Amino acid sequence: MQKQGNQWQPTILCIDDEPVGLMVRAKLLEMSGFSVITGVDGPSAMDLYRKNDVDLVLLDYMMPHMHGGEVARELRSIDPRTPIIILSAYLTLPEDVTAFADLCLVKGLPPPDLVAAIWRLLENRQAEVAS
Amino acid sequence: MAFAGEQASRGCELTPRRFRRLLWLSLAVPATLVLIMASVVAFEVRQLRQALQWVDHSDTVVAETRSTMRQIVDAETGLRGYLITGRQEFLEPWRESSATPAQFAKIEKMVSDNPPQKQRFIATYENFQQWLNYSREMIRLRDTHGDYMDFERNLEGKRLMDSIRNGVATAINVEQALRNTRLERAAQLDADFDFSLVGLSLALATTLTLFSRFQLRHLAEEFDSALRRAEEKATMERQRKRWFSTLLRSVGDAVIATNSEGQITFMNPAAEVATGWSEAEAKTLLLQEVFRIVNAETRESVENPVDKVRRLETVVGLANHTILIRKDGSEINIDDSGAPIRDVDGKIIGIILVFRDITSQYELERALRTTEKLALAGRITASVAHEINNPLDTVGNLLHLIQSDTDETRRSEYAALASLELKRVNHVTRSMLSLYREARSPVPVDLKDVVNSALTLLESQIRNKEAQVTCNLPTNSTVEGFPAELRQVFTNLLYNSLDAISQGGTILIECTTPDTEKVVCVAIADNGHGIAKENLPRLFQPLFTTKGLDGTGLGLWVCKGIMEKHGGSIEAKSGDTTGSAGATFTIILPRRFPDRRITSTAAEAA
Repeated sequence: MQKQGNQWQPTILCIDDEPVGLMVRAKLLEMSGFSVITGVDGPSAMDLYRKNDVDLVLLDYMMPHMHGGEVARELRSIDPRTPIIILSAYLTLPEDVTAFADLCLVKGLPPPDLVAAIWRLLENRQAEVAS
Repeated sequence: MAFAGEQASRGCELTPRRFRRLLWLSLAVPATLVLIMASVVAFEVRQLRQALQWVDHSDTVVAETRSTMRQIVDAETGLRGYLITGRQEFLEPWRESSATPAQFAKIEKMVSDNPPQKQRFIATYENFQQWLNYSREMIRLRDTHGDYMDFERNLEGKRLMDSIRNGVATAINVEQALRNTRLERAAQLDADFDFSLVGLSLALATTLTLFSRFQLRHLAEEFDSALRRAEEKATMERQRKRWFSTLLRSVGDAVIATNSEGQITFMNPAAEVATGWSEAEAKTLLLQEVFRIVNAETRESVENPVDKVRRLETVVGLANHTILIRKDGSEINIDDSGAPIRDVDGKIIGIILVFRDITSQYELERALRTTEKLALAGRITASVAHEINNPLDTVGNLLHLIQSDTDETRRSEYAALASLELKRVNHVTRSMLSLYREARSPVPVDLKDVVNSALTLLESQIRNKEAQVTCNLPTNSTVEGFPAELRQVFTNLLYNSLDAISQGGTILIECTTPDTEKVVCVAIADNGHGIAKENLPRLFQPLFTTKGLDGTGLGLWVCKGIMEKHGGSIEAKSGDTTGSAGATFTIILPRRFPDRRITSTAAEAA
């Protein structure tokens, strides 16, 4: 968690095996006022999560080695409270995947909606910590 | 009992040989009997005749003896006359008795068979000789005027004459008795003859009657049983005919029979239903009037099976995709075969046609093919959704960035990126659509393109499995065919390989034939779990799957159908035999499409 001026700039770990898509998404999130760390697969996600102070994880579902659900389960075992969003190309995902995510979103969602969803989760998390 | 019955039934068989024997016996037995009877009669007649001859013989002997005796008596009388009168004319009979010895000789010869009788005549003849000597002496005495009246001398003469008389009388008596005996014998023989003639005639008549009766009864029995057998045979034949007819009428398949001219002679109810013609209407019509068939796809008329059977003189099957046009003009898909009907000499006397309505099967197979196509599409949806949604998501994000950013350089960078991502989407949708869009006739297809577009569709699966896919297809691997169908084959096979391999597995696609070959062989080999030996024979059967509910069991069946349509084949090999796992599917495609007239069935589904 970083402070840039007087504004809170949350750190988002963004994971996707598609480099172009990852790069564009990172750019979008940065423009929306987030600090973004990127990784291309499950193992790198675990590594980056351990090394950095991450406020929210944004996972692609379909990835080699480990899909988004598996990565989410691993992350939950490290810290069960960090919000996790899974992005997928499908309308529905299996329950054992959704169980480890706070939110599952279908790709193609308008960027402002995604950003709004991220902020909502972060605010909910802050409220939980405060109480 | 069974044995006796068997014997009887075997004995009852009236073969031409047996009949000839019977006929021969019927002639030979009476003829032999008549011959025997004739022989017996002839023998008896001969005996009777002999007996009568003997009677005659005795009569002759008696007559001759009497005649001789008369001569002797005449000679004596003459001698006395001469002695009394001295006149020469009285000696005439005495002189004539010079023939008497010859007479005796004759009689002796006649009775030579009877020695006592002969002896008697010899003795009489000797007495006669003595009397002759005596008579000569007396004539000499008379002539010389001797004492010819001497009592002693005359007594001597009388004594000699008496002994002759006695001898002759005895001989005659004996001969008479002999004659009587012989006559009796003849009478006896005559009676015997009559008796045996009647007896034999009766015996012959009885024998012939009995024999004829026996033979006739035998013949009648044989005739009866032959008739019965013929009837039984006819009944059996009728039953067989009815059985065959019932069989043909009750079989589910349609059956039409024609004569050698191609005129319909028989139609079973199934054939009536299939063609829409009743047997009564169709009879005597030519087959092609009732059985109008065309190719399902080209609509060209198919060779009349009668002509085809006559031409090939063997059982023939019709080409695939045959349509029968029914009487009312409606159409059904049929599957059929024709066979020649031959007589005992092997001459073709008709043709029998067996066919069935496979419209529902045809529809079902078409439905299954469509199902499989949809299922394949479903199976690759995950991949396709990923391949489309990911770039679209990025494009959406890029558009937002373009809107938000004021830096023109970055904005144009974003636009260029968005354009690239959209190209990716375009590529995937094209590949997806090409599974369905199809040409109506075979076109040149580069297998390399086909494989590449299949790989595009499966890209995310390949990425997820981190599969090492190597495609070693030469540039000139072009064949004639239907691209969508061939793409379906490759997509299916590659999908199966991706399913079979474990993470990081390899798939090798390579061409195993030189450019000059008339066929192209493409092998898709993976190092996955391979195929269980017991599953290999069933691999290409419809609805066979090892993937449980995830598989339709139609993929490889459709692949096989498509390959066959292209005049090619597909075979599977599992690496199990060499010890290493993995499966290899090889497809063999001719460079030229086998029949240009056939158009795609896939076009209808598009």
